[in-house]
Amino acid sequence: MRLPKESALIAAARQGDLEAFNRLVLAYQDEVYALAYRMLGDPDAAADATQETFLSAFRHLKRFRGGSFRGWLLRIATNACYDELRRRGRRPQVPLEGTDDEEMASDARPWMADRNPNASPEAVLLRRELRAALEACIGRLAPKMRAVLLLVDVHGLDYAEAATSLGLPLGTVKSRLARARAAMRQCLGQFAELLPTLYRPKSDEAHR
Amino acid sequence: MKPTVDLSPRDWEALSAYLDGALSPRQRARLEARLAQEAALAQALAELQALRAALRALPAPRAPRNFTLSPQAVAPRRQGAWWNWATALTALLLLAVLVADWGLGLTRPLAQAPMPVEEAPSSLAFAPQGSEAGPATEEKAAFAEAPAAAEPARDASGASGKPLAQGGPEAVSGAAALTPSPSPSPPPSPEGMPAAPAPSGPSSSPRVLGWRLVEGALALLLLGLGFVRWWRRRA
Repeated sequence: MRLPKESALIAAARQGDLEAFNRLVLAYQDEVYALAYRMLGDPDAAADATQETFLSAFRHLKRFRGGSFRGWLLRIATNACYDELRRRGRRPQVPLEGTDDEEMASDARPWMADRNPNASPEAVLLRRELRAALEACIGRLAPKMRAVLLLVDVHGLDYAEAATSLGLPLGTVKSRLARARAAMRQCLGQFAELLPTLYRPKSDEAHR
Repeated sequence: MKPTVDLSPRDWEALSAYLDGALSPRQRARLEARLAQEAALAQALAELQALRAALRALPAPRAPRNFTLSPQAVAPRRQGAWWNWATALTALLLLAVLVADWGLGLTRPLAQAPMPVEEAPSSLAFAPQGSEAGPATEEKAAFAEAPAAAEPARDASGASGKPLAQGGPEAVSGAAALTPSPSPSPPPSPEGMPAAPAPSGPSSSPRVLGWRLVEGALALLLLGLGFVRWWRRRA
């Protein structure tokens, strides 16, 4: 449903129609920002990378050869994040000890609010801690693995899309994703008290 | 509920691909047979499933503002284009100057060749012309005069040296010192650069020096522009 409209917008934008391009920006800015935020672990840097992504996309629109525009955008976004990470060196951006600050910061952000208002306070707390733990562990992954994990597990791309987005062979995506998941699991092992929350889906499924 | 399962990387990869339905039917059948028997494997799969579910459920941060592009935001491209033009122009200019210099340097001696070397007014003027002059003494002379000659020579020759302006073959040797042409004898003076143009005739030296300066300046500018571009692309 979105496709014909999108391709028309792309065609118009390619002719230099900035307004058409900006409608694409509005359609994808949340997703691009989300990827950048999780890649960089910092709202300001994520905003910069997002802006950079759309600027670069507009300038290089002629290089878009059809296919998934979303995948193409996410590829530019990933590269923008790699650039930013390279620029800032390799210091970890989401320190484990900083989870309290993270939480306070996330409380201040309405989009971080819990979805289920009926959950018990304990459950909310656990979920929040789980979220902080997940984010901390994502931040600890090597950027290359982080990108694959985010694209597939958070953004829901399939292997082929992720391979296109990252400019990698399918097999590399597969093995990096496996390593990223194994590393996540190991990292989360440090948050032992959260594991019941994390692994509750398992018992749910067992009952099914 | 302890995640103590330790699997080989291959098993992890198989489980991970299985989770995404990315295994071939045969691989899947084999893995499912193992899953039914190996509790550790099954637990690892359950953990991976839980992990993926938790990741999918992560609340997505929304863009804190709109990232639509304004015409001004797109404008910086012009700046980039400006740099491109400046670089291209500098490169063309350098090429033109080099061609002109080479053209002059090559044609002048041919046209004014009759100018005999022996008639040079002073030994200073032709010191580095090593092939026909005694190198030791004249080099010293050139050396001694060089510091003084380099700067004032411009004014002095500009006033007095007009008739001699078309230097002899020395002009070529002066040019050869900088440009990679098959010159048999580069100036022996250790102060090569400043001394070289000076001894090649009181009249032609400022002109040659001028060429060198222009060429050098253009080359430096080009290098600078290239560096700036590289830096901006990197930053």
